[in-house]
Amino acid sequence: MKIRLWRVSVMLAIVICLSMNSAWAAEVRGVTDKEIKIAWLTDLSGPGKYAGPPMCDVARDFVAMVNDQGGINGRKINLIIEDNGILPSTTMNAAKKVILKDEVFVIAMNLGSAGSRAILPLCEENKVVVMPHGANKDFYSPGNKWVFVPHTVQFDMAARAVDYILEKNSKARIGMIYQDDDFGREGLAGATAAAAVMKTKLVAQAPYKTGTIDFSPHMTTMKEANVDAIVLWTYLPQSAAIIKQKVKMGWNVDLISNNTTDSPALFALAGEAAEGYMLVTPYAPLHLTNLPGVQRLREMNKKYGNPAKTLDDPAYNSYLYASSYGYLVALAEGLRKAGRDLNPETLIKGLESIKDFDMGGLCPNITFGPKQHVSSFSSMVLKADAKTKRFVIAAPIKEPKITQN
Amino acid sequence: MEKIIEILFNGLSMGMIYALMAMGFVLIFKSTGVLNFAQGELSMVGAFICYSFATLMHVPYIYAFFIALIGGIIMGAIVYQVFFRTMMGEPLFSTIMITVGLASILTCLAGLIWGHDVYSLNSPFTDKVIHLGKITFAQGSLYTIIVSVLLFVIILLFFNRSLLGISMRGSAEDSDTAQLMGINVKKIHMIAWALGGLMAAVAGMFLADQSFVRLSMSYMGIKAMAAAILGGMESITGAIVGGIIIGVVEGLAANYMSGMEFGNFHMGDIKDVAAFVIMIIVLMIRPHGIFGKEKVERV
Amino acid sequence: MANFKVSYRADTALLQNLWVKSWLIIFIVAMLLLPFLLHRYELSILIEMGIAVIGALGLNLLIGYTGQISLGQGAFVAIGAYTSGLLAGTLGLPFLVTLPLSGLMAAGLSLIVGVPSLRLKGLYLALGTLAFGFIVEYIIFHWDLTRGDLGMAVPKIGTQGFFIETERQFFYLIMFFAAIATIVAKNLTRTKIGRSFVAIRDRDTAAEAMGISLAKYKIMAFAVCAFYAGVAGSLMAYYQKWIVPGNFDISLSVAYIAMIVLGGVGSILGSVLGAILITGIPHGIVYLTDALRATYPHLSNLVVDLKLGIFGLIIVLTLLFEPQGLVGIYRRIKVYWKTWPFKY
Repeated sequence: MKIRLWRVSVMLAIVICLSMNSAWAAEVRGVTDKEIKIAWLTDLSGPGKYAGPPMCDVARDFVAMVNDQGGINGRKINLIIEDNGILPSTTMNAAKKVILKDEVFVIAMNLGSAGSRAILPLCEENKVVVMPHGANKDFYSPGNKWVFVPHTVQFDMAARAVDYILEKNSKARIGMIYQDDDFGREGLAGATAAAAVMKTKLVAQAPYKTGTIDFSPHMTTMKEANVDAIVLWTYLPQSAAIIKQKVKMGWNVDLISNNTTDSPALFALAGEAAEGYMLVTPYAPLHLTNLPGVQRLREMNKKYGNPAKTLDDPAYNSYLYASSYGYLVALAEGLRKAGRDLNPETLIKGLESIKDFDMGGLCPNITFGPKQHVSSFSSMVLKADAKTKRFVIAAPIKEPKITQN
Repeated sequence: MEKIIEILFNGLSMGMIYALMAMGFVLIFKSTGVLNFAQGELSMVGAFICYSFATLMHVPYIYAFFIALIGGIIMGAIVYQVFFRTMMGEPLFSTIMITVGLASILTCLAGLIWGHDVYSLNSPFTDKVIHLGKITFAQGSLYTIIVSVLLFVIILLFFNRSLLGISMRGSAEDSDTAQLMGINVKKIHMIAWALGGLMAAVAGMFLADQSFVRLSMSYMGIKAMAAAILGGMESITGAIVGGIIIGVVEGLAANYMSGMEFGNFHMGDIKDVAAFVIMIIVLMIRPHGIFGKEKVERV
Repeated sequence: MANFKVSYRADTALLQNLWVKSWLIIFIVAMLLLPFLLHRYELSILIEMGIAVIGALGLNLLIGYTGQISLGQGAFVAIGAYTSGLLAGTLGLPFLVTLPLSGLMAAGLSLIVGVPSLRLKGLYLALGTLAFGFIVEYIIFHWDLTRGDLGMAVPKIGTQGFFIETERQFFYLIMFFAAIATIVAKNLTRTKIGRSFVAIRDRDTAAEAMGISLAKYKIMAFAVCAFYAGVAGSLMAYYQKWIVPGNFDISLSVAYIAMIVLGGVGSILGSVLGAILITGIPHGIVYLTDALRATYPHLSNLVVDLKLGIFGLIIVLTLLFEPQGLVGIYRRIKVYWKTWPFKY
């Protein structure tokens, strides 16, 4: 009898507690009179560890520059860098920490598309604008109110790759090796669409699971289909493995890949064999100092950062530095346009009002809109020069023949 | 026709690597009764040591190879000394878990020392090929097969002919009796672990030559366990045969079964899971493997 | 100071003495009040701990009480999570239906390892469960139904008008289930089933000779462990609202093993303690690095990297120095306390 009473009261207490739902205070999280708190989530300790440091370097340099110039609309930026380990579970932990504990206003970068999708419900619930790295389809079609991607759409980059090959040789037989996840499949979709516009199709396709580095079956499939060029929608280790496999097979096939392989590490891994390797990317190589956009970037780095350890070091991954720079520039412009009355809704309006923001040739100009939360569809083609261990521009910034809306 | 030969050849080469790792498992298990879940990680560390010397310090490959071998031996001995000397007679769960924990620790340490990147090991055989008619062989694979076969012969001779080898077999069969007969069982266990470490290092370096040096190489160790189970955890010949079978089956499956679809199911990357399917099948039908003996349990 | 009981009922009572009873009351009161005292972030950590407790309890019943080694706990958690995701997402079934179904699905699939466990001992069973774990991960990744790496969205718990949304509500929900799970587990160990488990662990041939059906109880042990794991997985899915296969790989299985090794194999209290500590360690590291961020900015990178190795280190150190885990230390302290100033 006593126990039953005890149990009933516990139950009652639980039911009462469950039905209570407190509302938070009305002030804007992450924004005060003097500062704006911004989170920067990148991988500092997990599988994508090599990507973390360059992305953090540019964030620090940029924030130093903005704060030095008085901040945005009178508010300085408080940058919180958090390690997200690139995997969805660790990204979730990092996002929870920066939103619930540090109470940031916006997540200016999240490395890892799987992680970005995982934290999206959390961001929506808490009204946090998030800018994931990598324009994957769900982020722009149908798109999401809280997601902005200041980067060229993957789909269109793959299309550009196919366009480029077909421009040089309209009868080229094109094969594709792609990663069996949304990143790779989107590349496949873009390539297929571009081929269809030119009234042809991909003659061979070979997916692989993330992390594989043995490509003998895939390359054999390509060789049997007698392809002239292979589109590689892969990450860096896979591209390097494929180059090695190509040498092993004694087969001199053209390879064109995506922006994630734009790194000096390619030359370290593949050596001489990397000669002639092509890739599609929105960002110009940073050794081209004649471009005004590149000049601005380098000046910022010289004044607020450590050029010897970063952009002037040939082994440094300047592509990551540059592409993260694009994110920061877009966010800063959005914050500026949102004005002094800053809250999540005004930030969204501010970002959406950015039109053709000049990037000085560093990358395509940035444009957002109410229906367009991805900044551009154009990209350029680079070719690897194994002797100087650098990339040179093979074809300039251009939109592919099909443009995804 | 040529394709089949190439696939078999590459499968054989991978199989040798699995066989080397499986031999490491069997050596340690036979002598000490411990299943070393950290064998893959030991291989990875061996490969990293070779990489450090060969690529970072520009030591000629052959010296780096031997330095890594010595490193493997030392690591095996250290692991025994620190973890297992005191654990003789402890329940099976504890010993398995210690190796699992050790595997995580090694991965973490390797990540701290060398980093999470993918690295290239430059041996004299990297990227060189031989052409026989229409068939292309990689020199590295050939070298792997030849050296592995040599090692197998040496080990088999060691176990069957040499005094030390026979003492090891004796102490594995019945350690109490062996001790009564004057065999220093603790020393034998240390030697077993050292040899296991050696096998791991060799396997790691061959693997690095075929692909890249990176943390996830240790995944191969788990697949090699399938090879050891297939051959029989108590048999060295079994490990060799098991390894070769798994290597060849993986190669065939990857080439012929990738891309197949069953309804909603894509069979991509069969390579990763083929070994485990084999492991489960073996465990269900004949747990003691091809060459193993069924264990009789006494109450 | 003497510890004797005068009736059978008292001996097998759930709450043995006043000490335990009073601590339990303090604990319950704390659990009810905490959501009003703590921030959302801290509550979210506690919620994760609660989910881990459920999984750890199941695993301890299997490994600690029945002596069967399972390295595939992550797979059962995954099965539970995806079952919930699919049933709630595609079929729109309510939470109260999907939760037990997830557990049952996991328990059902546990037969795949449960039936062979009758023939496989120790080492071979460990490898079998390991292989099972990898195969389940592969299937989830490659099956269109589970959407592989794209991830699967999980809808909210609740019906029109009332949804369980805030951290506070989730906290009570999870604590409720964790409490039930603990009570059921503790009760299980007091019954014939629990005693049969222990008999199998200690000497299974003798147990069979005494009439305990090995087949029935071994399969039951696996099923119970899987059921717990399935429930934990289901709760995890609802809480995170998005699941990917990568969350359920071998590192999750290793984490659960670390929990029961640290807490104490074969003890209910041990499962709870171990789960709380192991879940708390990564968050503790985050707190630590945050605090040190001002003085040692680069240390944070280093320490975060150690997350991987720390679980392994904990397992190894515990097994080497205190095989009975925290509960073992607790028992030793208790004995010391009770018999002081005598040595034994």
